[in-house]
Amino acid sequence: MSNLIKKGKEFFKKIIVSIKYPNHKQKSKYFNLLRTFVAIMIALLITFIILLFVSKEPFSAISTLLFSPFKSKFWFGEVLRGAVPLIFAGVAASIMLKCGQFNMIGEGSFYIGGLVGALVAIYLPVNAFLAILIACLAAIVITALFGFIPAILKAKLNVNEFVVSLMLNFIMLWVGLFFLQNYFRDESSGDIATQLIPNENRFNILLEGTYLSTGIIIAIIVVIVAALFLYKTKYGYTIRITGNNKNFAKFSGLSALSAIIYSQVIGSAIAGLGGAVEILGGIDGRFSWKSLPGYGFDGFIVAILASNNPLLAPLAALFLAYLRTGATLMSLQTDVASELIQVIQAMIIIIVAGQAFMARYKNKIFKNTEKTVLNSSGEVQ
Amino acid sequence: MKIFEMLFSEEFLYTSIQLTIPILFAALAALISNKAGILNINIEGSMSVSALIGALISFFTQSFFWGILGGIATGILMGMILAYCSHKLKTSSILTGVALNIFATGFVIFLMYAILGTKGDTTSAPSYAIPYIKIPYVKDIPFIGVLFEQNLLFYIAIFSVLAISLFLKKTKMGLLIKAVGYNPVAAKSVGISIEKTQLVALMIAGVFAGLGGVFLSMSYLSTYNSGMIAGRGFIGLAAEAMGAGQPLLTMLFAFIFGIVSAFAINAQTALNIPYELLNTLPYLMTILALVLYSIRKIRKDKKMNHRR
Repeated sequence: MSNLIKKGKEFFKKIIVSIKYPNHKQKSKYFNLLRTFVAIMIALLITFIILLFVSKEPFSAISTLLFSPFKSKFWFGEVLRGAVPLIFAGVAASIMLKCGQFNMIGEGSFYIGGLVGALVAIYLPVNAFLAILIACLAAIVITALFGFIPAILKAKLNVNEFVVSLMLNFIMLWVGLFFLQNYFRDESSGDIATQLIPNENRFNILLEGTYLSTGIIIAIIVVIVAALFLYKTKYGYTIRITGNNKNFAKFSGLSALSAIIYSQVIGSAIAGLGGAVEILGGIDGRFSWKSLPGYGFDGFIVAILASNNPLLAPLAALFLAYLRTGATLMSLQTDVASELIQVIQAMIIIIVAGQAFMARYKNKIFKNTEKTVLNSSGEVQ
Repeated sequence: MKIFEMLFSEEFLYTSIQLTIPILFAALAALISNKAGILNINIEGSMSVSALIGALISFFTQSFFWGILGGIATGILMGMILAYCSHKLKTSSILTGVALNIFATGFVIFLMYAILGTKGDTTSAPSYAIPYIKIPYVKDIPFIGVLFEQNLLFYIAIFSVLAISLFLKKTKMGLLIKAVGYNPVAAKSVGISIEKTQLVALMIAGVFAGLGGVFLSMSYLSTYNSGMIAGRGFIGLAAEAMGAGQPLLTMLFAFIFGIVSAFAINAQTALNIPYELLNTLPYLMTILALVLYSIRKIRKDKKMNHRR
């Protein structure tokens, strides 16, 4: 018993020491957080300067952008709803980036995943839970197959996965549109869209008074599974080592080539699942995308903000969704187009991903760290 | 036999050339960036922003000259931003390219809305079109006469191909660019400034991206719309890869991509193939081209190793 208390005391001591005297790794985490924050602030400052030029009411525009989503339950629900596809896209991009693969297939996979999910939910003669399950699985399988194309080309022939995936996105879009227009179009909708998905085959509303669906639960599950996969399994380990140094992975007997393949297949499949969840939990109740939804690129932004860690992806996704909801409100209430948000995002990516940004301060901080580490270990013992 | 009639008509050649021009400019931009050792993904975004700014300036000044110049200046500026980010902020050039492409997709709509109050296209401000130059007598030659009644930018494109190949072979700057791209460490050791050289290369690439953009919005169509680049910047990257860094070969492959695109458009009426599937052709062709290029490269590397 006394042993247990002793252990408990030691445990708390450790935590307190880590806060008072953070070691190298913890300090670098705090520093990265601060760095991201400063980057966002700089981007917002530049945004404000742009607003001064183009808007007649720059102050109300920026305050609507930054604070309005908090003002009502409905709009806050919209923030959460907007975060769901971004979480999927972010986790997908994180896994691929962790392996060093710049693959944009998330874009096309969202599209195909959404279409396949909708079609299964409409035409399969089962209902409710089973229909949703099969719709999601079908989206995963088909987009995984698409993801295999750039993956195998990269692994076997060293073809640049970035350009291939971009081209593949357009192909996926047009193939999807081909099927939608010619075989599954509901003429009575007056739009290029599928038929309505039966209500019981869709995700329920989670929060009364908003459009937030239970799809967000699937997003959370994907985050946890992806984190466990990346940090607790052999395959995840291989992905991380390959991303750090492909040759090192090869020389240590890890199969870098297979990691390059399955990281992209998994990434594509997660994006496909995201598309299905987005459509089955959507407001329209049918699939009516006529162009690429843009989530492939968004995934990259989320991944960069979350430093490729799936566990941080929901936070980054929430932040982005918040800004976007703010931008929508801004375009409704002021004279500024909501597309300004993409300008802000681009600035954030460039600054956060810039290795030289705040590097001087980092060096300063870490010079001192080494001393404090010595001190703290001296005190503890 | 309808298909042969279509393929060997003057009209088909004309459409192919029209569709080649933007891809050729994009490929030249990719070429000069690649020579300096940068994978320039931002060509697509640069083309988009240049196309809009060129179109708007041409409308407001009612002069195609200022429109083209505005487009070129925009392209150069985008190139300089890319250079700044990768040199001073040390952001990887791929990530910067991705970011600038995102920037471009948002910025064009933001700007259109701020200036014209519309979000889809610039129908309310039609571009002042770039003129066609018809060379008398020669243009009356059957079939190839089409080559001599083209848009001004067609002649500029052909001239650019020759100019770039002379520039890279004969001028000091061209040699510096090649040296930096070939082996940056060696170039640095003999006192060449990598950053300056790459900046110049990216600015030249910006000129080409700008020309490709204004062709689309001021000649191919008379308005700008936000989806009008449609991956042509990336197709240009593929054409350059197939051309293995040689201007003339690059032009040939850009032309092949142009033919495929023209086929995708014309076959909709001549053959009974759904247009959605035809639209995938240029992109399929790009992937195929990259695969062939990689296979050839692997074989070459193997041979080199064998000789050693």
